[in-house]
Amino acid sequence: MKGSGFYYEFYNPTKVSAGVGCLAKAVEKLPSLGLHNAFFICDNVEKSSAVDLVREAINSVKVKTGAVYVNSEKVVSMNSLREMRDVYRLNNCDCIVVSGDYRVINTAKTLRMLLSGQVVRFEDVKGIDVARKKINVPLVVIPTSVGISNALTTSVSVKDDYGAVFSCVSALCAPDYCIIDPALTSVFDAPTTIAGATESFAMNIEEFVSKQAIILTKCMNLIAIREIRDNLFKVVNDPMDQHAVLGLQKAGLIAGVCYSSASAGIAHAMAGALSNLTGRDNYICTGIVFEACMRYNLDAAEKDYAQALYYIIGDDRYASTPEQDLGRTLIDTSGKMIKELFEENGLPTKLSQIGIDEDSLDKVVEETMKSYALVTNPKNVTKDDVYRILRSVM
Amino acid sequence: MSTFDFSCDVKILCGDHALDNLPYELRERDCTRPLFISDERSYRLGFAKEVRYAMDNDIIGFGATYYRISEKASPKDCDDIVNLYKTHGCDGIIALGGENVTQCAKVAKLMLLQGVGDFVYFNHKTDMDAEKISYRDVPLFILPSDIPCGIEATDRAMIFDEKNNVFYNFESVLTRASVVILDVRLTDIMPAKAMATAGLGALAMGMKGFVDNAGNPLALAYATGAIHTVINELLPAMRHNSDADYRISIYSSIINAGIAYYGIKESLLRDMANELAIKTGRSVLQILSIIFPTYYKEKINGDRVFKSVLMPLVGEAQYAKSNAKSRDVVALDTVREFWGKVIALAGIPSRLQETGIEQSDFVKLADAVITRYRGSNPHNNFTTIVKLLEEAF
Amino acid sequence: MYFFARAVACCFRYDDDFKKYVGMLPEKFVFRMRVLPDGNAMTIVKNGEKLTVGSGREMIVKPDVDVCFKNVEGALSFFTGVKSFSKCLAQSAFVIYGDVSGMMTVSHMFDIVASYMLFKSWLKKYDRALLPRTANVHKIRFFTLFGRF
Repeated sequence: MKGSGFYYEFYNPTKVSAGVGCLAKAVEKLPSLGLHNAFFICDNVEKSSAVDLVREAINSVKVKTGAVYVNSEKVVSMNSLREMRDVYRLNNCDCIVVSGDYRVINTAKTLRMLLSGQVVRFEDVKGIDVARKKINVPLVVIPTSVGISNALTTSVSVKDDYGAVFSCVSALCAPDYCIIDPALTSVFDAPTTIAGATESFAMNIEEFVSKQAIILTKCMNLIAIREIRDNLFKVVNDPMDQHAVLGLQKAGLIAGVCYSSASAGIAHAMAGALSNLTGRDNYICTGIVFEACMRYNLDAAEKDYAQALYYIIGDDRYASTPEQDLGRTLIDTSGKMIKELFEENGLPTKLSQIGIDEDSLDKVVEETMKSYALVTNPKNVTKDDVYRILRSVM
Repeated sequence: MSTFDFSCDVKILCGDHALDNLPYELRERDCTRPLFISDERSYRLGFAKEVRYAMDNDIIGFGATYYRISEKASPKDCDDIVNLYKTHGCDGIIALGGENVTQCAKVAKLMLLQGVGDFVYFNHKTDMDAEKISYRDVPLFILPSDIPCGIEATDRAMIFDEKNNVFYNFESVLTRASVVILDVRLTDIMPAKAMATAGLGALAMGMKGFVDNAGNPLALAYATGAIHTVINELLPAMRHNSDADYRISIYSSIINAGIAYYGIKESLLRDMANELAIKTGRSVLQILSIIFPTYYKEKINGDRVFKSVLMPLVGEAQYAKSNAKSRDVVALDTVREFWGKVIALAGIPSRLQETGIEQSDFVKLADAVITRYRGSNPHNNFTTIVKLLEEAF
Repeated sequence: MYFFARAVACCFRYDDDFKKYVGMLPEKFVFRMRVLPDGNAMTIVKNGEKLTVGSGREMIVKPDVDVCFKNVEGALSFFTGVKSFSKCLAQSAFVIYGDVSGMMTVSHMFDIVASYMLFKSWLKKYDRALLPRTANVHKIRFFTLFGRF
């Protein structure tokens, strides 16, 4: 905390309840929080029994879920939001409960921001810290996937009426209550789980080395990295190991909490650009570019990488690694781990596999340079740097 | 146990010119007539003026001001704040000062939200309504201008009613602050003694928070951050006590440690520290700085969690090289060594007898701890308490 | 803010990199920077090939990006070169209305302005590594101060 000009803000408005089988106990609090008629948003109902479990638990404590909306758009559109807003008002709902993966959580967060800010046009809340709370619309998030890093962030993505995707950052996007119960991640999909854990890992590393990282967020990130190391392979080998799934979800939770304060870096910016252009999930794009981005940041973040390495390789290997090689070892170890997991599970490891070629690089670079995640990257990023990194993973 | 709950809905602004964001935060919460409360000390030292300057460039003015909070928070102060708030139609509270002002402001907020006009209403009752998301709010801005007490960003408030010898320990989301602002302009040069006590108190809270929150990654991170900061920055802070950066670091570590410490459901250490603070008239941080090494002497015995507390104490490189079997012992030794260094440098009390406690007080103290905290911690044990008091004496 | 606005106009006239960044902005683009709640404002208006810098008082269209410093102190830190635009963003020194993607291009433009305006000793303490200047630094400083170019 040295040097003039140091300043930070830390704000995490979400109450978290997490644990194996905690859903039943956690929802008991909902009526006492003044919630009686929930607008329930979920993803594909037929595919998942988790949604039924959540609805049952909520109904059992006398909170109605009369209005149910199924949404599985990757980025929610303005039309869908208007529709949901009308359904919410028609049914006199008093809160939003969302259960599903990152897509549907993004939808619920955006809806809450619109309703709570009594926003008529979304253009009025585009930007950072713009939306203001006019009425209280509680949001309860109950994730059903492993990759939950975006559940607690204060940012959302929306597609406007012309199909353009834009971001909005506001404290109103963060949920009031988040219930994490690994029993709800009943449908195990190895590629999605691995990709989700990878994104969580990448976010935690980037937040750890971020220019705006503080001791508190750094401690959180190290705990998250350790959780991923302890639990990722357990989940891959035994998807029914709910304690291991909870460990990965904790890591995702921490990534989301720290994002608002420490923000991310170049990998996050690139993954966002690639995801918007190719339509592939963010976590897959992160897995492709992450190692190259870490290598790019090495000279500015070597000390931090050295510290984080311990949480991946443990006592013996750390003690026997020469000090000058610690940073590089983190990159090599994590890069190898991600590559092997991706290859074993049929996930793409090169940009060419997701439809990016030399001709589309310009667009990717342009989109990357527009991302405000670059602001907290340990190194100042130039266009040439981005081109170089992308070409190295072509 | 892998189930945990965590909630800390307090915005923390810390560092250079943090105070200048106060008008913005007030506007964000539609607060146009805040009640500004403080005590004589903060007023005399010019901190109240700093707050006024920060508000100068803005359109928001104070609804009312009150600079007479007593040195020790009392029910009368809470009543005065509530009356002023209602009389002047205020819509928020700005609390500038030390522990006394913080505690009063939090209890006053609770009273306003519960519609309680007089402290007498509580009458030995301290369990409040369950949390509500949909309640109306009284924005509360806490500006610590003295060493923080750790309770600033928590859901707790404590008032000791000296007249009736009743200790009120409120645990409710209704006491929660909206924003805590740590700015160097609201602090003064601290003598090494005060800094030492504050740092060791933060270390004690951090360690307790670490050991008791092993399954809660968020609370654990607060505790780890506090321990790491104190271990690395307390001695430089004591040696360069005019350096505001070190000061703010230690203050923020107290607030972080408090979040982890006060979030623990049942804690003998906390109950004892509170009781000893009432008995001796010293702050909880001062008491913790004396008793915590003794408290942990019996607690280790190969405890896995205690072994991992060595990590923030020595760092990853040293931790990796240490013998895994004896990490708990090394952790305790490291803490004791650090504690000894700080005590020697600052010349602060290291034994309970130096605080005015006598051996004849032990039985009464142990009884008081068990009786007073029976509701929140039914597992406090008389023999354990007396033994700890003897060890720390 | 007044001198900063002039510096922006000078950089547009003389610095090629600055012109490239302006070229990346949409054809019609309005950027405003002001201090909340009712402080001074500065606007940058791009209309095709032209770039106009103004005081914001004559604002008749809604800006595409509106950067509002939360307080005077935050604005002062930026305009005196104590903190870069990026650092101000990272530290939540301002609120931003509008599409944030346009704002990042503006951030790079401001870095170029800073590289001309700040003296070497200040640049050493600056929180970003700035690219070397391509135009004549004395010319830009002179015209920023005296307004004629």
